Amino acid sequence: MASEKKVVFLRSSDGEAFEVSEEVISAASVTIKGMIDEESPSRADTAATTTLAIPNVTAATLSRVLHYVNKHFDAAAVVGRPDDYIFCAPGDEHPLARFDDDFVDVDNDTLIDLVHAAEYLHIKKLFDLTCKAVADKLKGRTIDQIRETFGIVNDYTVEEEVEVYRENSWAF
Amino acid sequence: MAPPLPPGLMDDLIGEILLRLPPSDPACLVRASLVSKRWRSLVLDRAFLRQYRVFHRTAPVLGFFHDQQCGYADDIFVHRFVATTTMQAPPSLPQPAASAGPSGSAAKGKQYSCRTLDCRHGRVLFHTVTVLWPSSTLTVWDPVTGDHKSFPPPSDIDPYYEFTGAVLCASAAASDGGGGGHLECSGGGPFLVVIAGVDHGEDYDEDGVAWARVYSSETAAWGEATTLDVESFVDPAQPSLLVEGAVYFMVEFGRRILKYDCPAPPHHGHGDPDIIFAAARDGELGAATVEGYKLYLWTWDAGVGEWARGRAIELDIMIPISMGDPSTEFDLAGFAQGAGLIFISANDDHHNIFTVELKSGQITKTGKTRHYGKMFPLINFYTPDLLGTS
Repeated sequence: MASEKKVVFLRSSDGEAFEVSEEVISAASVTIKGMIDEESPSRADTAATTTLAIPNVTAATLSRVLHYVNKHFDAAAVVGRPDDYIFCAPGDEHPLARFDDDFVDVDNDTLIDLVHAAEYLHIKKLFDLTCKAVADKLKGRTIDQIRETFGIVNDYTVEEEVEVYRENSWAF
Repeated sequence: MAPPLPPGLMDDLIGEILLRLPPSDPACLVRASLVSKRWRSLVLDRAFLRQYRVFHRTAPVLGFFHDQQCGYADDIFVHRFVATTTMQAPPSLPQPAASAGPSGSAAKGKQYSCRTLDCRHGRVLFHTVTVLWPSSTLTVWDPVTGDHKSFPPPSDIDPYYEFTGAVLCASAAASDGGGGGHLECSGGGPFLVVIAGVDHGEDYDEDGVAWARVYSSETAAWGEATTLDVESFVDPAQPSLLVEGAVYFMVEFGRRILKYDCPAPPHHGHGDPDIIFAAARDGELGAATVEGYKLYLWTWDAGVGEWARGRAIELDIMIPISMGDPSTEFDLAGFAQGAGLIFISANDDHHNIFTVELKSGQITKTGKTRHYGKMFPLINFYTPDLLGTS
């Protein structure tokens, strides 16, 4: 059995299971690597495949995350990639830059779900990518639109709001 | 819809997202800070602001200063600021106190001529000369916070004497001397001002002596002059370069460089050269020249004691202006150290200003202004905690 590639199953909050290479997901997600390491003593005795519950992530989000993980962390698929490419200067574009652009070209709710999933699963590169994408979306938005996007309650009183708007009127 | 987030998690994530708002568009962070009181306290949190600087590493070029001649007199200058980002126009700099003049003379507008000598580490250095009576003042101004400090040049220097100058954060002078990666410097800290000139005696009949003096804001005093016998003259409008704690001034319209030893500038074509200090990397003594429609980059090779010509960047291909007129010339107007951006203007009727990013060679149209002499880019973070209230 040792010669075969090990796989694990991840069960989403809504009960759907996804298969992924243990090696790939361990390289990508600190959280899942921790779960696998915890499980490993008991696994050695059985041929059964491990299924890990991911209670905070829905099937729709998890399948997107795994799509990303397989693109970025499967060593067989990508070789010789610089690690910190997100901060590369414009011009020296990473081969996966286009994939990343398309990956985060989704609606707000999907994107915010991805931020949460990346944080929970502790996938740093995905977290960087999705946080940057949310920041990019904020750039062109009005304050009301930002509140709506994040479900923020405006806790300024009318007087306070008038005052801070007046002080910062140049920024609009 | 995503379900509302628990407040603790929310703060962490919002912080991570706001961290990624670009410093080159300062209005973004300000708008975000107005979303709610919670967001505002998050953005104004010291730890967040420190992290913001560390995350982005280099401060953006917010705009540039340059001098303009007053309409009616050739020798009276006023400074102008051109923002190249969404920052607020800085408040006007207070004029030097009227008491600088003879008793009873009130300071009236246009009685001052103000030249920009330098802009570095978020501070601008102006040299203001009163027109009607001999009095001159140096002012160091942080246009983001509005902090400013005025002090006279050393008393043995004639008020109408033209010297060149540089301003730098005191801690930068002590450490690596980098121009851009100066993260902890957010105004208010101690600074140094270096001024330099060449004396030829009162009637311009003596051998030249170059001198430099250093002012420290901490001691509020000028140090002793360092001198060097040299036949030369300074160009007050030429920006300086800071390399490993040493300040380099271009003198004789760019034919020589004044440090404590004087490497000759790179060889260039005939006539008055168009040359400016420009280093692709911090810690490098570099220069740029323009010949025709080509921008040449040079680095000083201290090992062999020579200038080495590096890359050439074609300006005509990339600058999208009407190039039909053969009289169109490019002027090297300024350099943003740290950001590695050269400012170039064309002598056509459009008054367009372009920037050339040295790393990528990318050329961007960045503003329009009719300018006199050189430009002094303002490089700083522009975060809501710093903004002057005036």
